[in-house]
Amino acid sequence: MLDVLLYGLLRGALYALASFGFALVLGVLGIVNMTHGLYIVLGAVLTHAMHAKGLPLPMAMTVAVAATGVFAVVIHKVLVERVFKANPLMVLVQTFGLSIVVTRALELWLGSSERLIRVDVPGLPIIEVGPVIVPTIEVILFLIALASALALMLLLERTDFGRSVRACRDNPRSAALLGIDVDSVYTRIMLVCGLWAGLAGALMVGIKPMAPYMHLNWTIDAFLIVIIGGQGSMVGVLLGGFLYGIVNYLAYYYFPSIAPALVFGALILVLLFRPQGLFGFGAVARK
Amino acid sequence: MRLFDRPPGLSGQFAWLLAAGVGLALLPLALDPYWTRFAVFVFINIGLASAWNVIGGFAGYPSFGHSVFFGLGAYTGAILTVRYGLPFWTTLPLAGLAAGIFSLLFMPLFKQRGFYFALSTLAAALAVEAVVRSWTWVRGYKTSDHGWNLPNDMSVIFFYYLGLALLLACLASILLLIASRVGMALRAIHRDETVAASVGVDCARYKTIAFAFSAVWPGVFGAMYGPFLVYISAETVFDMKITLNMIVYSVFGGVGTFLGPIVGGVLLSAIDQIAWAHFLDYHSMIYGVVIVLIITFSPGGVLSWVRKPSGGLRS
Repeated sequence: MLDVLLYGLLRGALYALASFGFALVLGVLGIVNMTHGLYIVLGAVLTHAMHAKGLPLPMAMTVAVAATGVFAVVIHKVLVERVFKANPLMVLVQTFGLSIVVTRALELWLGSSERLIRVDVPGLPIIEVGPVIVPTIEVILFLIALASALALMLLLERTDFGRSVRACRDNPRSAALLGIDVDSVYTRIMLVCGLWAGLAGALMVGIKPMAPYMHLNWTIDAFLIVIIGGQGSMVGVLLGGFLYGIVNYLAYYYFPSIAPALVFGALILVLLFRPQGLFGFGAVARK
Repeated sequence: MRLFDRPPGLSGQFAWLLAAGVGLALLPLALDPYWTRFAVFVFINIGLASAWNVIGGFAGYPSFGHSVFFGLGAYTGAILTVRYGLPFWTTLPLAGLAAGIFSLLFMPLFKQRGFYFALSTLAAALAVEAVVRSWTWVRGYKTSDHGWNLPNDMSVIFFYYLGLALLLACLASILLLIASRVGMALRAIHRDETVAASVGVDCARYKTIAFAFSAVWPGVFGAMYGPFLVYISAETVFDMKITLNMIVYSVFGGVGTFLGPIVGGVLLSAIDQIAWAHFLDYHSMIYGVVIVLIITFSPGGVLSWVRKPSGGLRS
């Protein structure tokens, strides 16, 4: 029981990291971005590819994360920006089509197999927490995830960029009247989304097999976490990630055959009784 | 402007439908079995997309869980055929009925709108799929089975005419539905649900009718799909891609219009087929590129090229 909880918590931070960008894009731009899972997978696959070419791991991760961020911006500028203001739901179909194309391209370029980078921390491969044995790498990734979550929260709470993001979320028209370049804020949100999702993927490939075809599952996971946590706040998403990690681990550990049904059943209950999310605050304006 | 904002004579529409049906009925004379088989897939795709379009397009509630009704129909048909030995003809209406009744379980989700509705239905569908995959009585004849083998005793030509007949029945019923009070209520709900409710439209009732209606036809087509493919499993009939295809066909042609899913179904099936036959490695890419280009440069769908754009999907 303790080990399940602990692993759920450790993985939960990574799940949360994978979902921040999704929450931001859903909350501010008002679109469901089906390429989100692709950003996560892209971060993972690029990290693996460059590591396999002999680049040191931190370097490979940095390049992969930056590339994912640039990719997200390009997608937004070239494709999504034309459509989302006229019709947010169309973006769902558009980005879905896009994720098919890019996934296939990625498979043709780098192969479709599942990949994993084995990292052993020299000197201290495992940490014992009471009766539970945890690989050190899981703890390190957990800490990196927490640190980057903190960095994102500071970015949104304490900087001018964060203030304009919140202004655009509350009312884009007033924000524009006050001299905020709304389109550029949207573009930078997409950059943040790509960077953080790419980082989540780059970390994830150290503990979990990743492959291009998994992108849809990651999109759905990110969505679940945002729904559970509430899209209003990044803290909510972080807590949602922890909760999702734990529930997921418990369900798969004790009832492996019907685990997805349990997880999704729980999600529907949340949606019906607390549509603003478990940790969201206030009413959500739902159109 | 929608095609049926002011219903032009229903009899005229039925005449067109009948004429198209007669024309298509002659087609197998000119087709080899390969293309006949392809045509059956096109019929099923159009039927599914048209059924989805009732709730997703006309009512503006984009369901992302519709593959469940297709899968449920296919599994109901398979179980009735294999476990109870019922004749094929009886399984079609029973499968439709099962899907329709099952769709009533989704009623609580109508509290949600827009993305929230879309993704709650998706979650519900994934939950149902997970149960089907692990319930041994449902998922196969023997406990070790992960799918159903169905008798392979009907020809492709038979399925061609069956598919055509079902499609025509489906389209005719949709024409009747959108010309009726229900259709008017759905358009009112799409425009502005609050206003519709305030002038006395019983929104919950009409949404339930539309949803059940759009679940019945996928159920019927599912029951036909099983014997057509001979072997079905959760991977083939509960696949998320089936839902996405219904949506993409509708959106591609023009969502919320009667002709949209038909045009989208024919064009996309053809593009998919050509890409598959000539560029196997790149086939899903070409398909995706076409979807992306259409939506990016023409969010109203193909039909908006020939007439003024409609409102399309709104959240």
